[in-house]
Formats: sequence, structure tokens, C-alpha cells
Amino acid sequence: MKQMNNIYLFAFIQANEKSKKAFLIFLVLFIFILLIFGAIYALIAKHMNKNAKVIDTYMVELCQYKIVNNPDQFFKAVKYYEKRKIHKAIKWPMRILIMMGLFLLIYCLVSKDGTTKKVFSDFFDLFPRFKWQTVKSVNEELKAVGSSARVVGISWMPVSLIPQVYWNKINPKDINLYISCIFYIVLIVLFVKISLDALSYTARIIRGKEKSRTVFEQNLDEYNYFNSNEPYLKPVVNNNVNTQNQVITPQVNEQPNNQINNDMNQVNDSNNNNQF
Amino acid sequence: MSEVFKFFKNATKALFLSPLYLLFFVWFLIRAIALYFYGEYQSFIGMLTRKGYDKKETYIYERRLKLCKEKNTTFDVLKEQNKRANEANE
Repeated sequence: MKQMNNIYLFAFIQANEKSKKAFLIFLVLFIFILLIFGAIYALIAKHMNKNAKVIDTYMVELCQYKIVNNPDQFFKAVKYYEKRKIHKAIKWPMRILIMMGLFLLIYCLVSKDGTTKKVFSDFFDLFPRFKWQTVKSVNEELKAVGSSARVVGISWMPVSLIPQVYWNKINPKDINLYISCIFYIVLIVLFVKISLDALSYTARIIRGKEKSRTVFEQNLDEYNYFNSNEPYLKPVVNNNVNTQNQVITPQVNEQPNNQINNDMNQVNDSNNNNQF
Repeated sequence: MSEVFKFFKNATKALFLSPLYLLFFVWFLIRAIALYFYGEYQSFIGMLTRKGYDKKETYIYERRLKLCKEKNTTFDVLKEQNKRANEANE
């Protein structure tokens, strides 16, 4: 292995200046791209980890009061909450997006030809355009001038790392420019908002699935049949109600609670309709 | 040092698996949008039946939780009580 490394090092030293420069430029470029991808990955991972914990705020109480008793019920409850939360989070961004789309559609239909193109492209004229000269474009320019000289190389290869910068003309009096700007800015903001909420939803669903497997795990590590004289009772977690290990014995009510009956029916219905 | 190594390991993973991650991301977006339309439909139905969809107080689990807190007991006990009361009535 060490010998192989030495061979590569030797080959690098033997290479000419141009090859060394090219190699170093590619190395720097690769590290730069890695940094960008790493930063995006880290940001998304941080956002998802932070938001995944939200399920704890409601699921702990549901478990404490034994409203969910097994992994399936746990996961169904998480989906029940999250379906509603994602709808609540993105309903206004989506409504704005739909209304904006409808407005643009009507505007483009009633205005004169070429408006659609202007609405969708004028925003980009605010930014500089970069163009790298390639072997092909330089040769075409030389041919157009009438020169017989040609640059040797593959047609798509850039001849320089520094691009040509040019600006497109904009017309400040054109209302389409402002409509285009508003459309793209709103689109970017809403896209970011919806994307973040979609990632949060996914993170919570994943955490719900993971936790449903571990929350109801039974552990025999701390339990021995012969060492215990009383039933192995977990402390009831509701501090307001029960302070000690306590078995709650059911008391017969005089009247049945219709609300529980209704709730049971509704939950059965909602579980049956659970598509997402 | 391990943090830096982890960062570059994740970055390499993200770089080489980016098409796959992009597919997942598009799937998450499509699912969120589908859930939005499903939610709008459910809200509309809820508006007609006066039940609502995304208001926390109308959640079935929240109502059960409220009931348990009011009665100071767990839900399985409440169910058992209710079952016995039903049987007694019959």
C-alpha cells in the first residue's frame, strides 16, 4: 500500500506544471463541492432531528393515560396528529400558491402575445449571466473573423476558468418585470416553507415508527420472578392523580359514558380510513 | 476531529447519493401536497358535519385525554367502567 502511494507521489512530481495546476484546481473544486453538500446535509439533518422531537409533546401523555396500548395504535396516533399538523402548516402557503397560479393563468390569457414568456423570464434578467468560452465557440469566432487559426481540443472544453459576464437589458417601465419578480420571490419563499414542513412531517413519522417499536418493549433485565413478592408494577406517571405504585380498580358507573362509545366508534372509523 | 471526519463522510454520501436523496425529497413534497388536498377535502366534510379537521380540540385523542384528566384515571379503566355500565344497563 505504501509502495503504491509512493508511485502516485512520484507520478505527481514527474508531471508537468500544467498537469499539477489542473490537478490542484480539480482538488480544490471537489473540496468546495463537498463542503456545499456537507453543509446542506448537516442543515437538513439538524432541522429533521429538531422537529422529530415534537411528537414527544403529545405522545407521552397518550401513553401515560394508556390511550395507546400497542405499537400499531402508537403509530396510528402519530399519523393521525401529523396528517392534521402538515395540513395546518401548509394550507396557507398552498392556497397562496394556487391563487397566484390562477391569477397568472388568467393574466397571461387576457394579455397580449409574449407576456407569458416575459412573466417567466424577466426575473432572471436582473442577474448577471455567465458564459464560459469553449473550444467550439472560440473556433466559431475565429472562423467568423476569417482567421484560419484554430484552437485544438474537445469542442465542449472551456478555454478559461474565468467566465464572461454579461447583463440582459431590463425595462423598468414594464409591469411584467414586477409581476415576474413577485412571482419568483413568493414561489421561492413558499417552496422553502413547504419543503421544510414536508421534511418535518417525514422526520416525525420516522420517529413515530421507531419509537412505536421501543416504547412497548418489555424488559426482563431488571426483573426476577423469585425476588419479587408483589406484582411488578410500573409507577403511574400522572403525578396529579397517583403518587405511589397503585393499581386502579375499575368502579362501576351507574350510567354508561356515551362520549367514550362515540369516541371509540370514531377512532375505529378514522383508523379504517387511514390512507397516509 | 471525529466531527470533521463525520462531516466529510456525510458530505461524500450526500454527493454520491444525491440523485436518490433528490428522489426522496420529491416524494416527500408530493406526499405533503397530497396530504394538503386530502386535508382540504376532510376540512370541507368537517365543515358540513361541524366537526372540523385540524383544530386540536376536535382531535379524538385530545378528547379522550381530556376525559381521562377529568376523571383522573387511565383510558383502559374508563373503557372497562363504561363496558360494565353498559352491561349493567342491559
